[in-house]
Amino acid sequence: MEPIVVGYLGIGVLILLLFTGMHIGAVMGIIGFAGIVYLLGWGPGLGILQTVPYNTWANYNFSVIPLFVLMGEFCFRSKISTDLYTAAYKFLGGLRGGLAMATVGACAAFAAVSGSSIATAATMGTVALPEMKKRNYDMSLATGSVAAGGTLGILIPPSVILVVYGMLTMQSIGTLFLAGFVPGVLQAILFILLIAFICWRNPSLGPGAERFGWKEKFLSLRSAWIVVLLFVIVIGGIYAGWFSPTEGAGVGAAVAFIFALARRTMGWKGFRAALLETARTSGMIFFIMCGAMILGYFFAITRLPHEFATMVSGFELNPYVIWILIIILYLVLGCLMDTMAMVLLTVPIIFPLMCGPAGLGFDPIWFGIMVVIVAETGMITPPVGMNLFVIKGMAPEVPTIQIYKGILPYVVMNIFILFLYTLVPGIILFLPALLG
Amino acid sequence: MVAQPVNTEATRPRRTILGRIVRYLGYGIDPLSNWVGGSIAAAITFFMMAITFADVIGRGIFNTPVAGTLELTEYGMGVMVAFGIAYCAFRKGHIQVDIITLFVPRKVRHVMDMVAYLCSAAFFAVITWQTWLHVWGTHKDGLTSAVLLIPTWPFVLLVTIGAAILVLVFIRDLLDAIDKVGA
Repeated sequence: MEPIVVGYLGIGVLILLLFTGMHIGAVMGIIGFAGIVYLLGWGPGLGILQTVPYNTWANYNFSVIPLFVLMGEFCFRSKISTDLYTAAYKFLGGLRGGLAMATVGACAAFAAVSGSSIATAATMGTVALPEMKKRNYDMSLATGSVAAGGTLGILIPPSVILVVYGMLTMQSIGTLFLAGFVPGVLQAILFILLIAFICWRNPSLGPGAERFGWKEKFLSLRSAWIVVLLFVIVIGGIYAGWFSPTEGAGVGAAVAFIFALARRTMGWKGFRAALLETARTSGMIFFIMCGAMILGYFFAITRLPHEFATMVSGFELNPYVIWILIIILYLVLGCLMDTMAMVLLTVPIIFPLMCGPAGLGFDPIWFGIMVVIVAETGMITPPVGMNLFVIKGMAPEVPTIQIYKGILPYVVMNIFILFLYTLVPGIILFLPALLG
Repeated sequence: MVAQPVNTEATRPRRTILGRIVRYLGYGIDPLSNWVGGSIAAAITFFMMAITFADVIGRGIFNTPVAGTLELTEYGMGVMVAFGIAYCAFRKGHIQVDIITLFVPRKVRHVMDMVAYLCSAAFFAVITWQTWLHVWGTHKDGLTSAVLLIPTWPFVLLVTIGAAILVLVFIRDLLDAIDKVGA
């Protein structure tokens, strides 16, 4: 068989096996290994297994992943999320739908220190859902705002997923962080406006709570400032050249740790849980990463990503038609796996098609941000987006159909956002161009 | 990631012969993956954070970076990740596409589980074997780190041990799934 045929066959078997419930990392690794053995023989195949796992794991640059996860964990365990919600609540709570807006605002702020949408949704959900229930909020609106707010967790830097994207595609992590900032903040603002609009149409959905004076409002920022500080230290330090993005993760985690010590809110139990949770999450990511690397070698031998890009470009379809097809693909994938797995699985093939030399000529930084947004949209798309299950787990008394109803406006909003950025890529690219 | 359903069935073996074997294996494998694996991965993560911070502060303020931060982090990552993957397997945290497994009869689900654990166990068994060969390779070549000249092979050996524990966890889960197919 031609190597390229073996490559396509590999992808077919890969998709089939994924659905059998095998571990995603193992499926990718086994297909890659089998493909290499078939094409080059046992020697090179086993050789790959000898060097690739060790070199993928014992990699200095990848230390950025566990350390950013650790930073988010420390912030989470020191209960910063509660303070963030309180602050957002004092500022926005008096408005119609203010608690839902506060949820989105607090999610966006927490996103600055955390990199996972499910973690953000779970963290904020436990704080915000009981509060909204107490104030007689419509539970559709309440659950929707938590699920949607969670998806902000990934875009606003520092973002673990953008780090992984940068490593897979050899793009600058600093540039990706800069590029994610404006879309992340803009998305948060649009979500808040959306809630305002929904509650303006039907005020009974989100009655206003009590208002607070300016003194109280600013006092509530007392401990929320740490998030701003962390953000400025990590992102500022990277751009000022004090340290590399890799080191920035370590510095951020250390500052978050010192802060948690000073606040005395984490405790030994929280400290232990933060480190163990980081170990678990890192283990999960690097299992898939190892499989993705082995699969990557197989694809490199078959030249599949390049040939695939050449073939699709050869159809001479409008690039935007292909882009829409890719969006649909990601929406479907969002039902099956979380964003990290999606990126590791798809980017090695789709990136050369979109941005490679034989591809459609899209900007690699722009595409990185778009992949994250579209994958996150997949996470909240009914009926099986994964964030929805998290919310259902936290609010089992809310009928599933209500949760779907609540999330739908945000899905529509996200699709609008995707179209907007496709038409005006400058919204994503002007900040990196300005500062880069 | 937080929402991964915890497979409580798998943690409670049945009272069959195979179930007993699974339980006895658990007495050895659970502390290895949970306690040893988790603790080592956690300790190294904290160490990597501390050394990176110390290096940046030392370099920026006192003009004296910590020698060998890069290579220590590199060694640390290898060991941390290997034990982290084993720990994650103990916590049933590895990602699977469960859209079909959720809708099939219980027995079919256990068969699918069986295949999944068998493949993962086999895959990492080969990796463990090959990494073990890599230990000898790095030992024979006398490979060391660039600055502190720390030999590489003990760290490759630790990665091998982490991977071996992972294989044991998967084998335990495999036997458990086989036992449940028979139920």
